[in-house]
Amino acid sequence: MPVNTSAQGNISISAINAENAATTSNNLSTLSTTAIEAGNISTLNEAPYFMSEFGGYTHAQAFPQATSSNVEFASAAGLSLTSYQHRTHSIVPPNSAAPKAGYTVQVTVNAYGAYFYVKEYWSNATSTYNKSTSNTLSTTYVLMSYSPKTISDISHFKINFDATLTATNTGGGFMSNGSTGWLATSGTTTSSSASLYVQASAECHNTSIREAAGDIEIYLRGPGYLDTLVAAHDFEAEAIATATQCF
Amino acid sequence: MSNINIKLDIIRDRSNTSKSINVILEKHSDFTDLTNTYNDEDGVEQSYLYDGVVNDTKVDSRSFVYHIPEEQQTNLQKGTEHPHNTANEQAYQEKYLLWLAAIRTSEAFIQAKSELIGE
Repeated sequence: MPVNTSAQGNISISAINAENAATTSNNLSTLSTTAIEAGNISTLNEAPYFMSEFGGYTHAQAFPQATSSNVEFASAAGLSLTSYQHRTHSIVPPNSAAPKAGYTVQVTVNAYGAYFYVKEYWSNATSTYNKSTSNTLSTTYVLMSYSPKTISDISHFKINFDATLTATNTGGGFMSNGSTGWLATSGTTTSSSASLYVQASAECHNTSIREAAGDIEIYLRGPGYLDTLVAAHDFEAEAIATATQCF
Repeated sequence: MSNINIKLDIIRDRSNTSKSINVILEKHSDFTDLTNTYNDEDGVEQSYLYDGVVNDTKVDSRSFVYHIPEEQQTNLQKGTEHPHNTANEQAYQEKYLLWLAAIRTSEAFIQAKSELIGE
């Protein structure tokens, strides 16, 4: 329950202590420095400390971490996801046949929870998802992980590919990073997807490598909650093009 | 987010045999759209945009020397003029791919890349 705002004089240390779930204290300094607001909108945490700053204060909390389903989290040893394609040809121009590797991630939020899916971006790549064992990742979605929080708790979500691109300085290629901003939920269910992929091309006896590595990150936002990174799955995506002729 | 560009500077002895490679990893604040041209199978010049790098975006770099195993050394090198000797080019390319694979899995490479990403 938010701290009373009807009049400054009604704000009590005990009311603040009851609302601030981060500590148990009757010390204003302690209550102020440990206070957590969604959006961190006031100067509550900074000295000088005033009881009046707690008017309307609601203690925020982080969303709980997601639960791994078929794909391990980045904290586990080894990679959660891999995708790889090497194409050797007389010439590998940057067209639809150029090697590509990557992922499409879909987030679905409904009345039952929030579900994070992944599939490979490009059907010609060789891709895996890993959790204890390595499994083939295809262009059919696999449930990576999920949160028990529902659409009534989640007002927005964000899909972020935190990626490093490593490239050779021979041949061509690029990384397409489709990370989203905050996407609003609405109605009884909301679903949205985003892709990251790399593509390589080469000509005249060159070899080109485009490798993306990093984390697929899912963030949640909601009233009374801090913006929270709830799931991170580490990945590697690599496209290699080798040209065996020079025209 | 980081962007790492790999450059390989092949060091040869007096007999022109490749002995080692100076591996340079450059961290760039961003990749830059550059244009490349090539001749297609019909000999027609084509061009395309790709993620390249320019000196202005370079943030930092690391380098180390990779010593080429004796059985992978060669006096072949990549041709720069037409017409190319395809057999020689492909024999050289075979070696180059072995070097590249070994370099990318070497401890020195992983360490250098990790340092640049961690900055």
